[in-house]
Amino acid sequence: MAFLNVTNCTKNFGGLLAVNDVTFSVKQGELLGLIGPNGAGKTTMFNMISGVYKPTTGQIIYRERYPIHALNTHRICHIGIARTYQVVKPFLNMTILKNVLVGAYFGKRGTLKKDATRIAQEVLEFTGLWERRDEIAGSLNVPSRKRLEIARALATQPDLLLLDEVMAGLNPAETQKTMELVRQIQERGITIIMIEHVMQAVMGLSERIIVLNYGEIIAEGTPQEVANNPEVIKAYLGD
Amino acid sequence: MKSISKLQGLYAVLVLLLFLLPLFVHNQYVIHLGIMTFLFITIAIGWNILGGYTGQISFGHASFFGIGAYTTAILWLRLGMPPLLTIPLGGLLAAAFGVLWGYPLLRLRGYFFAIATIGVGEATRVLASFWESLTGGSSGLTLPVPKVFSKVPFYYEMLIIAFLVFLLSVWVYRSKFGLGLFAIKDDIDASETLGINTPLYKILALALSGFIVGVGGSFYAQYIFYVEPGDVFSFEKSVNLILINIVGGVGTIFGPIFGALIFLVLQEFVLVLFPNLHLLVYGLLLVLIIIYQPNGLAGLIAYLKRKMAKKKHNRGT
Amino acid sequence: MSINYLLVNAILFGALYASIAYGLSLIYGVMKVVNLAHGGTLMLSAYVAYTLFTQFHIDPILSLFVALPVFFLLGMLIQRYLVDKIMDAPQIASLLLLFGVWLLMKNVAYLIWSGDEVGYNLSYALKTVKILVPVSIPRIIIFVISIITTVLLLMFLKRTYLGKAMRALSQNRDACSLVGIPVRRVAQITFGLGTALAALGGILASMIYSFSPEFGGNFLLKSFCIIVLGGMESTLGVIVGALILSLIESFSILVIPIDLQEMISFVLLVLILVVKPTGIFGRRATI
Repeated sequence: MAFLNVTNCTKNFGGLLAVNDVTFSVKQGELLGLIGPNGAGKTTMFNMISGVYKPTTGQIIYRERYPIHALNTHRICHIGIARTYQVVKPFLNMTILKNVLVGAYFGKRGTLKKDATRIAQEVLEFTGLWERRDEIAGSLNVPSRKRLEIARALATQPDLLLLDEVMAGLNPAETQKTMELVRQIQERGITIIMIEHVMQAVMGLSERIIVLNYGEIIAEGTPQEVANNPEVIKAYLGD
Repeated sequence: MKSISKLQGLYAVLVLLLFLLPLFVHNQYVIHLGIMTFLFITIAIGWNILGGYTGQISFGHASFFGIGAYTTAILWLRLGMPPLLTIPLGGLLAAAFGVLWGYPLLRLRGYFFAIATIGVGEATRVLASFWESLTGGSSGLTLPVPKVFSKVPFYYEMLIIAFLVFLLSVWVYRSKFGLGLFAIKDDIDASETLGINTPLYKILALALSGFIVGVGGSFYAQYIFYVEPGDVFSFEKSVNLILINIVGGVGTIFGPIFGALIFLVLQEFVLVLFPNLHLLVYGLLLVLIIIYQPNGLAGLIAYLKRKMAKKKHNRGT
Repeated sequence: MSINYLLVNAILFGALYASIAYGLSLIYGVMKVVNLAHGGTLMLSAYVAYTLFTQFHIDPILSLFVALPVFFLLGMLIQRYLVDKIMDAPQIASLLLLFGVWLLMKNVAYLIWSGDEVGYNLSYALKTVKILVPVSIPRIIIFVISIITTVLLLMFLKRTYLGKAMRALSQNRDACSLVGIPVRRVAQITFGLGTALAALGGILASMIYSFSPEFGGNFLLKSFCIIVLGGMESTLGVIVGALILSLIESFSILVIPIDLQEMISFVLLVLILVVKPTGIFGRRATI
């Protein structure tokens, strides 16, 4: 079964074609990298998959039964798709614990207090944030906020996780830790799509990579294939 | 055995004292002050659920107050319904009204919603003044005053309402619903992608908020025995609600209570001496608090508590 | 009530409304701040014109030269000592802050002039000129000044460094400091200019309306309606919005009772915010 099927997806912003007739699919359990120069349409693609934007034309089908392109954002979360934001959006006035509790409570419908608390604790321990759970999100530095963002998304118990540039701005040690975290997330059976600019991370983690440029797919394949693809090199370095 | 903290014990004693007050104090003016305080606390809590918990500041809450008041007045006067029964109806009608204009307007972000609510409040007032056949127009409706009239039953009525509303606000604050509201206030996009049905939650908050303020309005009508658009739908009432919450601490449990108390003290004691200055005082309060202490009194208290806790911690180590 | 009358009425009022709305539109466009004190400025400037006329027999048009610089200064002070302090706070804070300033202004008016409704009559108030229908001189003067103001404003925004800086600020604040535009200074001047424009609107209005310290609220609501209709950040949009509102108000007399006239601007405001938040020219209200 194709876990996620994106078919002929286009997003037109009043004349600006951010995403142009993109088609790809994602296998369950895989880690798919999504790369491309700035402005290539990657985050727009994420926005369409998570329901923040509706595609202008095209379809996105999840698990071969859910028409994502026609569902509400919160409903998309309930059926198992979670995302992080490129510019992280923590609940600044809440503690780390409360932030994650929101995800735990609302990620699925009808979650009870004891279950939400258990899920939150589990996720915080998994991401190494449990000791700091009473710190206010607004007082955290960027790498910690990024980790919180991932934890919060995990608390919604997703089957598909969209990570938007989670390595950006991290030093090498932090990058390593986050890469390890992403590996562990995949080991739990969660399917991941990763937007990244940090090549080391995306090459090291992805099984398969899709390259976007100007809203269109210009290459698709293993990290090796993509790295040697002249079109990709041209897109990043210019002519 | 479940231990009751000292603080909770103190609260219980306080509430008990409030209940016993009319047995010792017979001064009708003091009883009246008590009633007005409980009324302000109630409607301030109502506003706070939408403005403080959910972050949607409304300049038009007087519309709920007025609808509650007129519902009671009309049902009592025209249909002979016992006034006590009209109170929940006043609340429900106000809530329904809220859902009506809330559905389209809650989509608006930040202060466009606030601006639109200025219009809602004013439009309701104008409509009420105009629709004479229903509301008696700008001269309002007068309700039958009983020959023998003690304020004490009203005191208990409003105290019970205020107490129940307070408990409700605490429940909401600690519930999953409340968590969702605060999340929406903090970051609405993140809230949506985390699974919160934000349009639904916002409308529920508005309906609950409207209900509470409508109940307050209903009570007001039966206590004052007179409703007119210029009073119950006045912009000034909407502004007072905002002021009370800002002074007390927006989005906190005790904010509305602190704010209502301060406001009442201001109204009855300070401004009685300087009747020409009340807009000045309100304006100054608003300006100074927004700049220097935007979390109000409750925020100040929380800050001081944290500082004390830190000091204790430091001394301990 | 001929069509001619309604039309001329609409155009004249449209011009006045536009003048009144420019100040609000400028401050919102450049600084993304909704200046609720705009209502207070309208009111205070009306009183200033009133006092200058009744005590010193200075014609309101002349009083513009005195009042406008004073209000410009007032605006700058409000920005510098109040609004600037909460630049980083959520938008709602500035809304409430400026609302507090409006309350202060109201009280000042009550203290100085008491709460009675006042007005003044110009010697030429009753003389009329026939432009399709008889139009009183003050209204013609208001119209002419509105046109002049519009032209000056457009030229200022398009041709001068300051005007361009303001337009840049309205589009991308961060980029401005990168490019060397003194953002704070421009913000102060914008607030000053916006307040001065509000004062202009208030003085013009004082020529034909009577007023009390409660004056201004109605026009504030109309101004919101106008800038939402015409797009938040466009001068031409304000003109279009003002015309649309005044046309609707003018012709609505044929169908709805006078008492409900006040509701028109509100209903329109809500309709536009809900149906097409971008207005006719500009940006979104539901970001």
